[in-house]
Amino acid sequence: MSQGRLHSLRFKAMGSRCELQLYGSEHLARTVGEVALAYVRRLERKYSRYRGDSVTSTINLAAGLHPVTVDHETARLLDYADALYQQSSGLFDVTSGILRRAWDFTSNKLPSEVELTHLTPLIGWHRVGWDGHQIFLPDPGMELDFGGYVKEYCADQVADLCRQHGITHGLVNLGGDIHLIGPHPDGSPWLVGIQNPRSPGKPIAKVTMTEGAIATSGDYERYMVVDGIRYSHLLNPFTGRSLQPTFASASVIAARCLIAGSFSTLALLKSPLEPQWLTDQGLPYLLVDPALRLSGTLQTHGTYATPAIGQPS
Amino acid sequence: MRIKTLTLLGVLLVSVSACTQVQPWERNYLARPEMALEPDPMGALLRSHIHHSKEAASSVSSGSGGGCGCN
Amino acid sequence: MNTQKNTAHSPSALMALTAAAMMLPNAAQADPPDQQYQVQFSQARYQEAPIPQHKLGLGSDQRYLIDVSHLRFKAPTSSDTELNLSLLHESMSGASPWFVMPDAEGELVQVMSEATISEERTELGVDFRSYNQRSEVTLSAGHSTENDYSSYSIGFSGAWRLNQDHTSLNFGANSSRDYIDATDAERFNRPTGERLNRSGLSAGVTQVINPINLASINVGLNLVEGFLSDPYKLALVGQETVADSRPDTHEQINIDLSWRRFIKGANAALHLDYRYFTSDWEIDAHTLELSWYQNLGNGWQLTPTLRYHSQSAATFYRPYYTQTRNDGYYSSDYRLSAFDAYSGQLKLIKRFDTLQLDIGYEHYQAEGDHPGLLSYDLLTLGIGYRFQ
Repeated sequence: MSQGRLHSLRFKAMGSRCELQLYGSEHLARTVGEVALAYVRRLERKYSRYRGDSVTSTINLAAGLHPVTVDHETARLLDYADALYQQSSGLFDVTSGILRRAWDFTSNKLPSEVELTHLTPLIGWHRVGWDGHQIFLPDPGMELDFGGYVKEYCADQVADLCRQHGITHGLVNLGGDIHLIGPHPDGSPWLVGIQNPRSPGKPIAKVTMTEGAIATSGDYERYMVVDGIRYSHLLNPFTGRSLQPTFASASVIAARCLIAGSFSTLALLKSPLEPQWLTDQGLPYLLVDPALRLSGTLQTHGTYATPAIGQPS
Repeated sequence: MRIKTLTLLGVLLVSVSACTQVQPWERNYLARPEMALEPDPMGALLRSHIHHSKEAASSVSSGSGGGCGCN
Repeated sequence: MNTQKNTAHSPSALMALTAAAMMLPNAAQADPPDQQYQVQFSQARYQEAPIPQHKLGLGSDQRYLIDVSHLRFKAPTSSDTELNLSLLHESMSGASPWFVMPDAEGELVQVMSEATISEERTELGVDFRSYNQRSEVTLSAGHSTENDYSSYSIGFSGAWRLNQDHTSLNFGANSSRDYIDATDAERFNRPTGERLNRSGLSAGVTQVINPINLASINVGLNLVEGFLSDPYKLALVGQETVADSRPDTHEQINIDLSWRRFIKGANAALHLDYRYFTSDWEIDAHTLELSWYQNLGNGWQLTPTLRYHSQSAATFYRPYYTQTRNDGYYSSDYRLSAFDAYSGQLKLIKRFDTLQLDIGYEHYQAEGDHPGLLSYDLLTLGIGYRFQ
């Protein structure tokens, strides 16, 4: 295969800036780009909360009414949701998206206790009927949301599609969820920037990677400051309140972006009670605390002038 | 001949059971064109036709094809 | 419906989540039609070496010079089907081996036809491939015609992908009917209106062993019935020549083993193929082929190939016959003799964006007792273009 030049394809999907960087002939890069984009759009439509014909809407509209039989892909994603729920002792709950109704991070107003006590009874994956084929949300008003991990899953799938079409060097970046198809053609690694949690668009560290995936979760994605206290989008499904993560961000490296993203999110969700949890999981990681101090097992490369991959630009 | 065949099949079965699970993201080498069973079908067709016209052993694989071209 | 969830804490979050992630479907399919048009053309010329004077009994020492032009066109017909058209033209000229006799010293010499023979052959093939996530089928049809030989063939082949694309079960069936009308039939009392039917079945398994190893086994059965003799060859029986005459059935079995290995350090792929062939004419053959696909960067690839073939003789084959046979079978065709053949090939490919060029050279040498065994040199040039 001709190694070819580096081709970049930028697009917006799943509410994020995305890009494909592929080495290969122009023809190949264009073909693969089209296949990848079609795949992303398909997944976006399938699990969109905003489309009435999506799988998510079909399940949510049947809440309290009847079970819904789901396709194979959705079934395995729901099994994954179950695994996330088990491993997080209930903190990662795909039914907690409903708290969005009370939390408006653009309002700079905290939700009232009354609002939260109305919503928390509608949360609870343990009450959802799921037998591997049919899903049933027992109460009207309950909602399911795949948004917590479908983007990472998508990054893995797109990388596999690229590989299958013969791309051996390149990367997939879906809003900072990065899956490396392979190193640069000369074998040199990619430089992946970790966002500074307090300076949007600026990296706080850079890591070199030749393979695998990296994902970062942070308290900076959606947040508001009320009376000097930072309230992030990381919500406790039991109380409905914003939980105060011990770290401003957590980055994890794994073979698959889905795994990396799950661990970085779990690390923040668990951090108030188990700040050391990530250290025992066997995956390379980087933690940034609110004072912007770095810790973890990832080798980082100080500060630099040029923005690296993974930075919103 | 039968014993040979059985031995071959036996060896293959043993080697299959020694296979590891290869995840889709580990398939980038297997997906390369030079790792295909036949990377150049057109060239292989020509060579097998020539060898077939000089040797006794023909083979059945798949597809069709015929003609003599003998001399 | 059962609610089967409890908040048990698994010993390893990584194991639990990885297990769940591995059950997710994969968008990447194995080798689907690539939705591209492709045109390929190759021109090959091979020259059989002249027969050495000490092995020539009578006739011309010039053997065949063969030119082969091959055009192939592939077109997607829907998102999961494609059509392949193939047109091949072959022109041959030279002298043909006739029969074998012992010379004054008792050494075997080949008697060749005197005149230079010129022949043309045209072959048209059509393949239709239909692809599913878990399986695929290909239907094929072909027709080949020469002035003295025509052939019609049909084929069906399929593959089932199992075990998360680690295993592929392959199967195929094909059949052909050939019509033989020898030239100059009246003058030389050669056969006309003869037929030959061939039916084949094959089955095999391809297995992914690990990320860099792939192996395959394929077994084929071939049943050929009809006129299997060579209408232009003779055999010497005592002081007389008789027409080449072979049994009217031939049952053949082949077992093919293939192994592919990628060598990361060298950026190369190693191919090893072995074929065992046996038939009820008691021909046993072993063929071993070794190729090294070396990527050189910038779209260049160099592939050396070594091939070794060894076969035993057909039970009724003799270079010449001192007495008549009860079964009436006579053939002194070098193809049915016991011999070893060695061949080396070198192929260079350059891939551009949508264009591919290749050049190949092969030298083939057969060694055995038959004086008509040959060597040849083959040169191929190819060009391929794909578009959308």
